[in-house]
Amino acid sequence: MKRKKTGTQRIRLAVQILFFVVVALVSVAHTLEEQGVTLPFVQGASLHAICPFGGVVTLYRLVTDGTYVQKIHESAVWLMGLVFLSTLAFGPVFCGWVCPMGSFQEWLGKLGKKLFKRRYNTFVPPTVDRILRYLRYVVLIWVVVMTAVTAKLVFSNYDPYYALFNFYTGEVAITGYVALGLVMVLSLFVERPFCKYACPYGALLGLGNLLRVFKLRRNTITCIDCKACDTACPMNITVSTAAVVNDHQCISCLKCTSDSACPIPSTVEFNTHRLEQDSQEVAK
Amino acid sequence: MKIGAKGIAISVVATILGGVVLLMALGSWKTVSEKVPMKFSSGEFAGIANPADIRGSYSFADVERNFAVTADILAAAFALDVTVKPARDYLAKDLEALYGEVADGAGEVGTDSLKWFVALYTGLPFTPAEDTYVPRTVIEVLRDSGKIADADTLARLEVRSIEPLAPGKVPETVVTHVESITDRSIKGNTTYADVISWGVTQQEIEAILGVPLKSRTENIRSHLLANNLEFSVIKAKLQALVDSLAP
Repeated sequence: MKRKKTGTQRIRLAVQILFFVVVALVSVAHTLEEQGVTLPFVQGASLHAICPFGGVVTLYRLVTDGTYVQKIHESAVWLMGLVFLSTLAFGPVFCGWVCPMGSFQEWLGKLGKKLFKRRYNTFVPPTVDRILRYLRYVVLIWVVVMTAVTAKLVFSNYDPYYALFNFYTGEVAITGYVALGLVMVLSLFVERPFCKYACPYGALLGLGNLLRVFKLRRNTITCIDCKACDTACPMNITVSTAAVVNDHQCISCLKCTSDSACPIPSTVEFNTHRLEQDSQEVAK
Repeated sequence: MKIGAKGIAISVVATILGGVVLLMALGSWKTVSEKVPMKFSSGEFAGIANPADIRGSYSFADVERNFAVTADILAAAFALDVTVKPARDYLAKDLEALYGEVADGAGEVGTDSLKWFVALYTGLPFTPAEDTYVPRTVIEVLRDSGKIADADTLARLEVRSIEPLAPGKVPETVVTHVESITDRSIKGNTTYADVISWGVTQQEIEAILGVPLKSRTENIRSHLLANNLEFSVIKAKLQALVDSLAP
């Protein structure tokens, strides 16, 4: 039982590491290529070219002019489509499984957990937290509108993700370093602070939780109300009161499920139908 | 239907990485721009390329392809040394590397300066930023070609002009390549002349490239990029030829 539970998160960690390494390699290869050095087997590309959010911010320009915002290319639009596809199926799995910035914060958070134990991820008062959670939609609107108006990547100067993978290139604005530093420090107190409060792409993908085919469901019949799911959730979602988790902050990480935190089998799952149906059928 | 970690992992990797591999195979995965600026959408210049959309990554060859101004004229206007590298290979962003901040930090010669020059040379509308400067050679080239239409434009250029570069100045990103006698590996800064000096004939190179070789001194990587050829593929074939001729 114990091995199975760790296995779920190990699989997710493997996927996170895979994407983190791929993005780091592509980014380093690009920097080296600009200096005339080619790495074997790795095709370099700028971080903007492999960022699916680039596809989102260039959409207005693409539709109205048929061109891309500076530094954004066709690849970003394709990636946007692929990520939307996975979001329609499972919600923001991109945030929980793929995004290297999310993974980086999560890994820093492990240090925070060691430092603060049970107090970790509980420092922000719920009333303040509830309001701050909508800040990322303000960021999303600002980025999309300003990018459409200026045709420039306005967010890259404040983007901790860009700073993380380009910190050694001299192309990062001071504000980018400040944003990265702030996210790193906050990650020691709050799990995934950038994802929760500021990420514009996470804001957009979060809406996918309302539409996803596989939904995170809780079986209200078998649930023993132990709240293990609430404690495990990195995004502080109260899973224990919902039959279906539609919260825009859910990142589909599976930490709350019966394969991880939930002690009762088949009680919290990613499923296409109501779990109570299964219980009723078993009862019959 | 239930899905667990394995199912999600396989789906996510297959959708994103598999999707990228498929797009690469279909030739639709493009991580660099086509270097085609947007066009004026209305007015008397509708349908003509807009100099305001020239990017820092554009080479002078890209500018030449999109606007009625040659790379040689651009190099002359910005006093660039074409003995260091061909005019076509200079990038718009090289101007920033070479000139950078000017007039005691009050202005800058960079991509915006190139946009301004192209606009004036081709008679297209463009409003430069307040801090955009140009070298004096820009005024000389425009005047000699009869492209300065009015005194106001000339006066604006005069106010925002600086001394041109001294000959021989090289942008930091440009590496002057010295061929190694022992190292015969093709790198990003290797020229066709290097490969020829290692014993490969021009005909053999052209047979691999599938396009004619116009300049032996051209950097292989830049030439391949300009011709939409895959550097890693051509490099492997050329390297195999070089290795087979090694003493």
